[in-house]
Amino acid sequence: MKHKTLSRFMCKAALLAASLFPAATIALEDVSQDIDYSKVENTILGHALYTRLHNSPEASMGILINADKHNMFGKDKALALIFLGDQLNEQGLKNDALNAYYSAIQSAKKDKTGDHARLHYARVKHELGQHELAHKVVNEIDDDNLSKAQKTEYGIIKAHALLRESKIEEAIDELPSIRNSTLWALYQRYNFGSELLGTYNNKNGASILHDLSKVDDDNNPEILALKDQSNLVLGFSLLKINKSKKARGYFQQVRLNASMSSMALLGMGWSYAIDENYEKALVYWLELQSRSLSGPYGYESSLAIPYAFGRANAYQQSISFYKAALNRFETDIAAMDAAKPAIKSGLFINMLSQSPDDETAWVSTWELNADSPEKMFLPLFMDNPEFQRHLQEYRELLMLREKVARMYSEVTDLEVRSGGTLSQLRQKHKLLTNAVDYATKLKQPILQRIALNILDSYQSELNSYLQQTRLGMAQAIEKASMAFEPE
Amino acid sequence: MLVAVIKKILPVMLSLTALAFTPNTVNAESAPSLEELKRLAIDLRREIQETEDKLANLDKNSLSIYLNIDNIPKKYLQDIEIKLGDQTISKLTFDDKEYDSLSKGAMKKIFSASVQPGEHTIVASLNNEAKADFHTSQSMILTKSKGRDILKITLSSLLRDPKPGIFFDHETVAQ
Repeated sequence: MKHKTLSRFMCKAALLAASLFPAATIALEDVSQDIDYSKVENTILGHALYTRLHNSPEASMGILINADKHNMFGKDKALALIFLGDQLNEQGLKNDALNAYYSAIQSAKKDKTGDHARLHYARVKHELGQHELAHKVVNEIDDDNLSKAQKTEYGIIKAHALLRESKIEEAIDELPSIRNSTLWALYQRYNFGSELLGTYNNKNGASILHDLSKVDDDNNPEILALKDQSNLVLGFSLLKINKSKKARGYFQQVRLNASMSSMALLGMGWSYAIDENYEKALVYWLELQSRSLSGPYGYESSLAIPYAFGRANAYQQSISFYKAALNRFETDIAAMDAAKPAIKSGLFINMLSQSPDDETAWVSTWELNADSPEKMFLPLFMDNPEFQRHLQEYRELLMLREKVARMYSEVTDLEVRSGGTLSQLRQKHKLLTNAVDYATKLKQPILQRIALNILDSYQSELNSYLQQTRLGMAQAIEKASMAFEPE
Repeated sequence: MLVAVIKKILPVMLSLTALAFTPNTVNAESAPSLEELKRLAIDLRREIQETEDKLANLDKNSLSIYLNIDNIPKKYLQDIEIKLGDQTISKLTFDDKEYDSLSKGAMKKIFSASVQPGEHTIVASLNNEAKADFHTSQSMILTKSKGRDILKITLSSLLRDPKPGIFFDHETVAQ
C-alpha cells in the first residue's frame, strides 16, 4: 500500500481542523479586562463605550473620531485613543489601530496609560510579524505599570522577538509562566512552543505545549480547541519518533465531540499500526469512516481500513472494503461532475451566504440539507486555505453590505430634515453601496473558480486512488487464494 | 513511510494558529479592498453623526446630559427621572444590561437638545421604592452658555453611606 496519498489527506485533515478554528481577534471583553474604564471621566469616551456595548462598533468609532477631531477628550485622550485602536483592530484595520495607539502614546507620554498604549501597539506589531519593532516598543515599557496579565503578554512578545533572532536559550528564559495568561497570550504561547518544536526541533517546545494541554479551563471553547490542538501536535510529534504509546496518551485527551477528534482518531489508528496491532487500528479507523462519508477523512479511512484488514490477514474483509472504496471513489467522481453545474449557478453562493454574521450557521445548513451535490463536498472546500480566506472576506463583505444598507434610511431622514441640501452625503452613501456590491459580486466567481479547481484536483486524486485500490484488491485476492483465512 | 506522513502533517498543524493571526488581504482584481471599504463605512457613519448633530444645532446652543454610575449596589437602582424646569425630559429604568455597562465606565446620553442660554433648574430623582424603600432627589441651577453644554449626572455612593447620592458636573465646551 502506498502512503503518499494518505499523507496528503492527513495534511488536508489538519487544514479542515483549522477552518473550524475560531479567528483570534481582541474581543471587547478582553479589552475591558485589560484596561479599566470604570474611572473614565470624559463623557464622550463614556458615551462611546456605551454605544459600543449597546450598539454598533462603527457608531462608537464615529463618536471617537469626531471627538478627537474637535479635541474633546481632555485628560482621557490617551484612554480614548486606546479604545479607538482596539475597535479598529477588532475590525481588522491594523494599520489604523497602530496609528491610534501611536497617538495615544504621544498623548500619554511616560505614564501607566502610555505603557498600556505601548503594549497594545506592540501586540499588533507582533501579530503583523514585525517582532523587532514590537520588541523595541515593549523595551520602553516600565513593567511596574502593567497588570499580571499584561506582564505575561509583555514577556511573550519579548520571548518571540528573541526566538526570531535565534537566541533560543534567552527566548526560553524570557517566556513568562503560564499563570495569568490572557487568551491572546495562550495563542502566542502555542505559537512559541510549536515554533520551537517544529522549526528548531527543541524539546522545550513539547514541554510548553504539554503545559498548554493541561490548562484548567473547561468553559472557554477557544481554550478547549487550543488544548485539543496541542494534544494533536504532541501526539503526532511522538509518532514521528515511534513513541506510539505516549502519542496515544495525547490523542486520547482530544475531545471526542470536537472538530479535531477525527484527526485524533487517525492518529490513534496510526499509533496502533506502528505497533502492528491492526485490529486496534481498525477500531479507530472504522469509527472515523462512520463519521464522514465524503471528504478527506472518509477517503483516508476508505484506503486505510482494507489495508489494515490485509495486514491483519483478514483478506476477505480487506477485499470487501476495497470494493466499498472503489464504489465510493467512483460515486464521488461522478458526484463531483454533477456538482460542477450547481457550483457555477447561484445556488452555491446562496448557501455560502447564509447568516454571514454567524460563522458556523452555514455548517448547520449544510448538515441539514446534504441532498444537493455541491453541499456534499463542502468539507473539501473548507480544507483549502485559499477558499477559506476568500469565504471569510465574502462573509465580511455581506455583513458590510447590510450595515451600509441600514444607513440608507438615516441618510434619507437627514436629507428630508435638511431640506434636500445633503447631496454630498447621499452621493457618498451611493458610492459606498456600489463599491461594496461590486466587491461582493467580484468575490463570487473567485469562490466558484476555487471550488471548481478543488473538485478537479480531488477528481484527479481519486482517479489515482482508484488505481491504488484496484492494485490493493488484486494483492488481497492473491493472498486470500494463497492463505487459509479463519472465520 | 509513517515518518513521511508525519513530516508532512506536523508543519501544517504547527502553523494552524499562525493562520488565525494572518492579517486580512484582498486579492479581488481591481475591487476596493475590504479594509478600504470598512474604513469608508466608518467614515460615513461618522459623517452621519456629525450631520445629525449639526441639523439639531447640537454643535451650537445645545445641552447634552449623560448618566453614569459609580460603585453603587444594584438594589438601589430602579429608575431615574430628569426634569428641566417643570418638564420631564428623561426617564430611565435600569435593567441588568444597563447597570452592567454603566458600572464599567460607559455613560448613557439621556438628553440632547437645543436649550436657550440662561438659568435653568435641573432636578434628578432616583427611586427604588418597590424593593429598597429608597428615594432621593437632587437639583441644581444650570447656567446654560451660548454654546455647547454638557451635564454629567453621576450616581455614586460615599464611604459613610452605601445609598447613592446624585452629583452634577457641568461643562461648557469651547467652540
